[in-house]
Formats: sequence, C-alpha cells, structure tokens
Amino acid sequence: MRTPASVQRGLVKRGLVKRGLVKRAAVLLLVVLLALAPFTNRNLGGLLPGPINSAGSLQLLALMLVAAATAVTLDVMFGYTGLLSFGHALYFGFGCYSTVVLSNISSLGFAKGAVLAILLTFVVALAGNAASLRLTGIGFSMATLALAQALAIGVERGFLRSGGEVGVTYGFGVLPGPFVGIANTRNAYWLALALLLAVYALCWLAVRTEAGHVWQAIRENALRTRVLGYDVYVFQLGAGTIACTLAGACGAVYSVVMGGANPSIVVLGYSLSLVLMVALGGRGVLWGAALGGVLYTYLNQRLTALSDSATVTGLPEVIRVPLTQPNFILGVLFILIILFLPAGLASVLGIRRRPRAGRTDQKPRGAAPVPDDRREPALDG
Amino acid sequence: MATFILIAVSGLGLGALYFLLATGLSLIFGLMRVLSFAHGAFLSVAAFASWLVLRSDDSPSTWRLALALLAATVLGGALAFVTELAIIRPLKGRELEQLLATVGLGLALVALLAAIWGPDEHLIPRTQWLDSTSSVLGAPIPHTRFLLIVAAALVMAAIRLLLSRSRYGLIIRAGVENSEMVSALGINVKRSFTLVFTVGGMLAGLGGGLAGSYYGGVSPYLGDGMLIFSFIVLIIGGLGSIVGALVAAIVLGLSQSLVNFYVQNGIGDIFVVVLLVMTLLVRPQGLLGQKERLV
Amino acid sequence: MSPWSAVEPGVAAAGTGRPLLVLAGVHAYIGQSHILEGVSFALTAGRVTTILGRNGVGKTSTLRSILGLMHREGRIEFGGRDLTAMETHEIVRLGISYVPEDRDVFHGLTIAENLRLAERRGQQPNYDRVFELFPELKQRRSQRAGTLSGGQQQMLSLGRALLHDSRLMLIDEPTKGLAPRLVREVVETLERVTASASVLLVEQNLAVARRLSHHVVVLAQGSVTADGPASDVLADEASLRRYLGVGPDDSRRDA
Repeated sequence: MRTPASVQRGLVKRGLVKRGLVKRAAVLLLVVLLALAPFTNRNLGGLLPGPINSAGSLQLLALMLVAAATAVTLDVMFGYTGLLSFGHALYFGFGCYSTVVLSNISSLGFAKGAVLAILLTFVVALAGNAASLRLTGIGFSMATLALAQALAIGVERGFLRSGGEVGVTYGFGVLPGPFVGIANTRNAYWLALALLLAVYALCWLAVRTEAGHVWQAIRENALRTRVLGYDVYVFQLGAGTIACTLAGACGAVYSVVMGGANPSIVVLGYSLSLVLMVALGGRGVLWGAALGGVLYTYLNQRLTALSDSATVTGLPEVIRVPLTQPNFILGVLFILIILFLPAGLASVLGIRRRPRAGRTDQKPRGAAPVPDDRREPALDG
Repeated sequence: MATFILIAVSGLGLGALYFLLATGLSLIFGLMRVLSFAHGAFLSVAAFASWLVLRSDDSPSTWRLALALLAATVLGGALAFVTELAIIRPLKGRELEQLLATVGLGLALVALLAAIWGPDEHLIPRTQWLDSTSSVLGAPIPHTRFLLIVAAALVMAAIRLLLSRSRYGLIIRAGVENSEMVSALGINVKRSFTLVFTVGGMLAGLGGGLAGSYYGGVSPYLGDGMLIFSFIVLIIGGLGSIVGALVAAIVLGLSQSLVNFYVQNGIGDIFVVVLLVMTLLVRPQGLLGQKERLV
Repeated sequence: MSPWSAVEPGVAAAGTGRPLLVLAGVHAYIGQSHILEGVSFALTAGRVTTILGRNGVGKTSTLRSILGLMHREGRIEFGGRDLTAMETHEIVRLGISYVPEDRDVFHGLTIAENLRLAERRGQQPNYDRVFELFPELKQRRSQRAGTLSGGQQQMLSLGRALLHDSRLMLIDEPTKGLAPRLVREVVETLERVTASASVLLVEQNLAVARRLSHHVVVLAQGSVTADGPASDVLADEASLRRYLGVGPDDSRRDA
C-alpha cells in the first residue's frame, strides 16, 4: 500500500530535482531584498504611503508580513489538515492582548510578559482545540466560532483591563527601546520579517514530517486514516495546537508593530479575513497562504488611500463610491477567485498542491490505483 | 415582577428575530449543506430598504410600515434568488467553496452599504402604534415586541403549512434527510435549492425590516451581529429542524436578556456562547437535529 | 460472452435480445480510490441480470455510476441514450427506478408521503399494485417510516420503485440484514415482480441470486471477470470460490 508518506516523498523528490536550486536561490534573493527594505530610499509611486524606507511604508510592510505569517499558521490547520477554523483570531488576539496586558504589569515587564503570554497561548490553544475537535466538520467550525466569540465579547466589554473599544497600548517604558518611536519602525519591520521566516520555516518542516503527511491524509479522508491505525484526534490536536500557538506569537509581534492591541483583531470578521487570505492565496500551499496574507493586507490598507487619490476622485460616482470601502473590492475579488480559480492564486503560478480533498465524486489527479488485495472495507457494496 | 415581564418579553422579541434568520439558515443548511454567511448581509440591505421607505415621514402610517416590511422581504428574497443562481449553483457539490463565496458576498454587500450610506447608524421613525406600549401584567410592553413575536408566530405557522401540505414542502423535508435519494426519485432538487435559499432570503429580509423598527435604527453591521447569534440558535436547536430553531431561539433570547439585565450587561452574551459550547460537547446534534448531520 | 460491442441508438425493446443497458470501459472513483477499473457488460431487457462480487469490489458503485451519483468515466448507454451526459433526475425519468442498499426511505415522512414523493408527473401511479404486493404498507399508511422495522422499510423501498412501470429496475441487496422468513417473502415478491421486468440486481446471497437470475456478471478486481447465463456462471464452482471467496451453496453473506 502506498502510504501518504511515500507518495509525498516521491513527489517532493521529483520537485527538488526539477526546481530545487532555482527555487532556493529565488527565495534567498527575496529574503535579502526584504531585509534591505529599510535601506531602500525608492519611491514606488502611489503603491506605498511614501518611499520604501519611510516609517509609514515600513509599518505597512510589517503588517503585511505579520498577516502572511498568521495566514501560514492557519494554512497548516485548514489547508493541510482540513480543519476549517472560524476562530483563528481568538489565538492571534489572545497572544496580542496578553502580551500587552502582561507586559504592562510592572512586576513583569516586556520580556517576561511576552514569554508568559506565549505560554498561556499554548495552554489556551491546547484547551480550545481539544474541546472543538470533539466535533467534526461544521460542528468543529462552529465550535471555533463560538470560542472566538467569547473572547471578542470579553474584549469588547473591557474585561481584564483589555481596554474595551479603544484597545490597550503599551505603557510608557514597557516596550524595549529599540521598538519605541517612529525612527525605530525599521526594527519592528525586521522583527516581523524574522517572524515570517521563523514561522514559515517551522511550518515548512512540520508538514514534511511523518505527522505532516498524516495531517494531509486526514484532510483527504479522515476515516481511512483512522482505519490505517492513526489516532486522528491526536494528530488534529497537534496540528491545531501548533498552528494556534504560532498564531499567538504572530499576535505578539503585531502588538510590537502597532504599539498595542485593539479589538479589530478578535472579531469574527478578522477570523473570516484570515480564511479568505488562505483561500485567496491557495490553501495547502504555504507560500500561497503567505501571498494571500500579503495581498489581502495590502489591499485592505491601501485601497482607502487609493480612493482618496486624485485619479479616483475624478471617476463617476458609481465606481468611486464602492472603492472607498476596501472590503467591497476584496469581497468581489474573493467571489471571483472562488468561482474561477478555486485553488487560489498559487494555482495561477503553476504550482498545484498535493491531491485535492476528496468528495465522493471527485476525480483524483494521477492517483495510482490501490491494489485490490489491500483494499480495506469500503463504504459501498 | 413588572420588570421581569418586560425583560422576558424583550427576550422573546429578540428570540423572534433570531428565529426568523435562523429558520432560513436551518432549511438552507439542512437541504443544501451550505452555511450561508451572506444572509446577514441580506438582512442589513433589507433593513436599509425599510429605512428608505420610512425615513421621509416623521410619523409614518401603519400602511407605510407594512410597505417597508414588504419591500424588505421582497428585496431579501430577490438578493438570495440571484445569489443562488449566480454563485451557489455554479459551485454545485462544493460546499466549502459555497460557504467561502457567501463570506465574500457578505463582506462585499456590507461594504457597499457602508460606502453609500456610511458606517454609522441611521434612525428609523416608528409608527405611533409601535412607539406606544400596552400593559401586560403590570408591565409596560412596547408594541415593537408584540410585532416581532406575532410576526415570528405567523412565519412559523406559514412554514409548517408549506412543509406539511405542499409538494415542495415534501421535497424539502425529504431532501433535508437525503437529497441524493430525492434526485434518485426523478426529482430536480436544484429547484428546491433555489426555493429554499430564496425563502431564507425573504426571512432575512423580513427580519431586517423588523429589526430596523425594533431597534429604531439601521447600520450596515446590523445583520452580521444577528448572524452570529442565529448560528448559535441553529446549532443549539439542531440543523434542519424548525421546531428546534424555535425552541432554541426562545431559550437564547430569554436567557440573553435576563442574564444581561440581572447579572451584568455583557454576561448574557457570554452565557449564550457558553450554552453553545455545552451543546456542542454534550449533544452536538442540537436539541432536535438528527445525529447524522453534525458529527 | 454476451454481445455488447455493437449498440444501435434508439433500440430499447424488451425481450428482443438487444441490449437495454450498455456499460463500456466504465471507471469510477470515490475520492482517491479507483473503484471501477474498466467495467463492461450489457444488459438485455426482460430478464434479471445479477452482479456478484466480494464485499467492497464495487457492485453498488456500478449502480450508482449508472445513476450518475458518483464521478464516472466511460460509456453508459440506456436505450441508446448516453447517460454520462445527464443528471441523476433526468436519468431516472428515462424510466429507471432504484432500490438502494440501505433502503433510504425518508424517516420523517409517513409511508404515504414516501410513496407520494415517488410519484412521477405525467404518469398514473399504480397504488393498487403496490398495496396488493405489500398490504402492510396500506395498513400503516400514516405511520412514519422511521418507526418501521427493517423488513417493512424494505417493502416500502421496493413498493416505491414499483409505483410506476419502469423500463429498468436497479435493486441493491434487497435481502440484506433481513431475517430468513423476510428474505423468503422478499424473494417471492421479487419473483413475481421481475417476471416481465428488466432488472439489474446486486446480491451477496448466492441462493437468492440463483433463484432470481437469468444472467450473472461477476465483478472482481474492479472489472468484469465472468459474464454469462446464470446456470453457467453459478455452476463454475472453482471460479466462484476464487472471485467471491464462497462456495455456491453458501446462503449466508460473505464476511
């Protein structure tokens, strides 16, 4: 029987031989370019709020990188393991808020506060996923939604010094020097870049382990994976806990970039936009999710600025008015992608992920027939 | 005691709103296995329509109110109808993509509302009757509550009639159990899908019109807030069960209002979420749902 | 082997020996599993053709492929018409009725409602026939199908398929899970019903297959390995043992 692992290894090997060196060189180049951004005084027209190394641009870029990292973590759960979470904002938001609130406690300070926050996020991730995974399919998704709602309500009401509608910022002197002030935006930017690299590397490694292959097998057919002898619940729990804890780390970095936390990152809308990011870029493809995160955040931030620009104010009302709301364009774009490019943008760029999640009537691409003497009891006659 | 009655009736009124939205969503999920995130947006759009009808008159007549509600219902249905044909049907069989598409649509519609009329609330004038109260067991109950409860009761009766007496109702009831077998009997379930989705839209529209008058105002985000609670009603009541949705809506509306008032404002909302989590852990199919549907 | 390679469009007459249903090179998939790997056989009108095979080999998938209930490729023609281009309800309206493996009656509906759902527009439903075959269904008309016993549900499932005259009946394991007495009843009913009908039957129970079949098709390893008159195929004990893992006298289900 071809195990998921052997199938994956075969495909990976082929991929490495064909595209490996070129791909790795390109990635390295990209990382170097990104790292050099704060030294680049180029102006990209209206694409960024100012020259690349201006504080405004760097902060935008930092937010894009953080979103990319968060989308990657969701992709591990959703794209690879098939767990559709409507509550990823819970863990991102919890990581963010707890970092700020704990750091603001004078006896803790930032270093201890941040570490404690991540540890707490791990506990919450473990507990949250353990509970939600008691259900499958839509039940699981609804459970994630419910848990996230609990946090959203709590934050909105300002429980535990979370500041309510205004959010909460780092107190004076709490955030380490290098991250304070406009002039130091570059440091927050590099932190965000480091986050993306670390999260991406961790997830990249994780999905290539035996566990990672089991995750993908679970996504394809959970029942069959269980029949093969794997404890599906434990593996799902592993995927969820890792993904959500990393999301918390992303939230912590977000708080550094923004100087605090605000309720917009714990609401259902944010969880949904994370799902959109992953679906937009291509679920089951890590860099696709990253791309989705980058694109979504960019459009979200820049479209409003675009609508104020001179070129647009001249356009007829019918076109101009919807442009004032980036979500309109994003929503429409998203519908179009779903209808015409369901595998996301990554599929345009030629790289398709491993065999798609199976429906009963879905045709597999290039799947080898299962030898009949090894066929496990099927669900049909 | 009077306060209790007032809070309880308010809770029932709220429950009535949730019920309207949840009923449509329940049928849609039961039959089509699609969780529609767009119906919250349909509700908001319909609410705006009712505002447009009512805003020109400071003290509108009951006829105008009826017109507003009709406009809201029709608009909700129309939006849903177009959505089903243009977006849901082409994605036949791919429930995840259908769900994601409704998320995108909901996003776009709400943004459009905010773009045209701004993100803030717009006040809706009430009819004289709606603005006044009647005494029930010593409590002054605003008539808005009665309107909601009566509307929900009428809708419940109408839907039960539709389901039990008509051929489409028969098809829907069977389809909720096993839509594949229905098509294996030679029945074109696609038409039923469109019908159910549209009816869900009409219910959302009616809910939007009613919510506007109940709250006295509309904002683009009205529907999304209600959508979340409606999902919770859906789960607790059991996907695909109308009676379940009714019971859950009543329980949720009552407990949310009572806890919010007697304990602390905001705890009621959290209590509702706790109820949901407990339901998911103890009885995941909901009160009256079938076991095969959810787990 | 029976003639299936030449099919003239529009030919659907019963009892003339021309194929009513033709499968040629049919592949079917469930997710990643390649269930049917080139199934080919023809079915002649006016007689009972039974598909035999091990558990899991794809007998039910064959029926579902005909009905368009799963992803399939290849050629499937019914009375000369290409079924692969049609949707399930259109296929059924050509005159095919289906008795699924797990009965699939609607639990929340009464017997009467279950039957009413099976009515086809433009045709007169034959309730007399159904109630004559299954008098219990008439007695329990207002009872919810979910409260019926397995045997009663099987009657309902069969009855609903007999409400109208079909050109082809697809029947999947009608005796599955039934007590021996009920098995006898069902088989007797089927004998009456299939006297002049065209039936594609899936059965695990060899004794039942022996009694009802005129023609047998054996599925193994995803395709047809034997195809011929029932008397011939069922007499070949060696092949049966190899492909089914049972002897011809086993009347119990294959594990």
